[in-house]
Amino acid sequence: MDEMSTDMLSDEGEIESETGGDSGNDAPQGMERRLVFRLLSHWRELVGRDLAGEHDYPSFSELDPETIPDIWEHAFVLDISGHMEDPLFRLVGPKFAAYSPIDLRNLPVSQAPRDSLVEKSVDFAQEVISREVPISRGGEFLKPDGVKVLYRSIILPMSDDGITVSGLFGAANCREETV
Amino acid sequence: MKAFEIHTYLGGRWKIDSVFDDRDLAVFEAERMDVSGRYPGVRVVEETFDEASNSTTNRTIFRGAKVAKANEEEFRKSAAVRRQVVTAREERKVTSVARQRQLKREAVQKKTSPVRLITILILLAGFAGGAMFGLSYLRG
Repeated sequence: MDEMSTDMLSDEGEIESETGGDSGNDAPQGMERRLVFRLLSHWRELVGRDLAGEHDYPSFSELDPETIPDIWEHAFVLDISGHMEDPLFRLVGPKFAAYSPIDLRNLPVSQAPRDSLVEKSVDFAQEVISREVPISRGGEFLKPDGVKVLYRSIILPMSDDGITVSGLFGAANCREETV
Repeated sequence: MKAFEIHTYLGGRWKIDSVFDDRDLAVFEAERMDVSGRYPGVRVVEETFDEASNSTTNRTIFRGAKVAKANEEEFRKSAAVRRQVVTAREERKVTSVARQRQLKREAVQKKTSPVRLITILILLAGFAGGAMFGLSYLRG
C-alpha cells in the first residue's frame, strides 16, 4: 500500500467530486464520474436488458471488462458459492489489487489486509448477501503508517439464473490525505 | 446507525434499489434516477436503527417529482371528496330541518283545518240532536 503510485492517486481524485469538472478522469463532460454511480448505473442497465423483467440481477457472463475498462481496474469479484460465510476473491482489478501486499485471488475476505481499502471494501459483503441489493459504503480510516484514507466502495449482487444471488461484484477507490 | 435506501416503484409496489450510508449520495442518485424518467416513482427512505431499543424507524426524506405530483393529485382529490362530503352533510342537515318544520306546520294546519272543525261541529250537533230526541221519546 505504501508503494501506491501517484498515477493511481490522481485517478482516485474523483472520489468526492461532482459531475463534470477536471480531475484527470477521461469521462466526458456532464457524465457521472463517481465510480460507484457509474458501476451502479451499469449494473442497472444489465438488469434492464431482461425485457421480460424476470431477472432481478445480472449474471457474470453479461459483464464485459471492455465496456467498463476504467471501473474494471478498481473492481473485484467475490465467489459465494459454497463460501457464503467467507466469500473468496476470484477476480481482482489491477488498481484494486495494488492496495494489497498479498495476492488476493482465491483468498477469503476474512484474510484481507487490515486497515486497507481492500478490507473496508468487502467489510459489508454479508449485508449484501442477506439484503440482496447493491450497497455502497464509504468513510475514512488510518493506514498503519498513519496516513488518512477517504474511500468509497460498492458491492452488487450477481446471479447465474437472474433470481438467486450467486456472487458479488464490487469496486472501490480512495484518496489519501496527509494528516 | 443510519442507512439511506433508494426505493423504486415498479409493478405496483415499492422495491429497494440500493442502499447508501451517505444521505447526500442517496438523494443525488435518486434525483438522477427521477430525472431519467425510467422509473414511475423514486424515493429515499432514511432508516435509523436504535441499538438500545433494537428498533428501526423509517422516514421518507426524498420523493421524486412523479411521486410528489401523484401525492399532490391524490391530496387534491381527497380534499375535493372531503369538501363534497361536508357540503352534502350540511345540505342534508338543512333539508332535514326544513322537512321537520314542514311536517310540524302541516300537523298544526291539520289541527286548525275548517273542514275538520265543521265536521266536528256537525258530529256534535248530530249527537246533541240524537240525545234530545232520545230524551223527548222517553218522557212521553
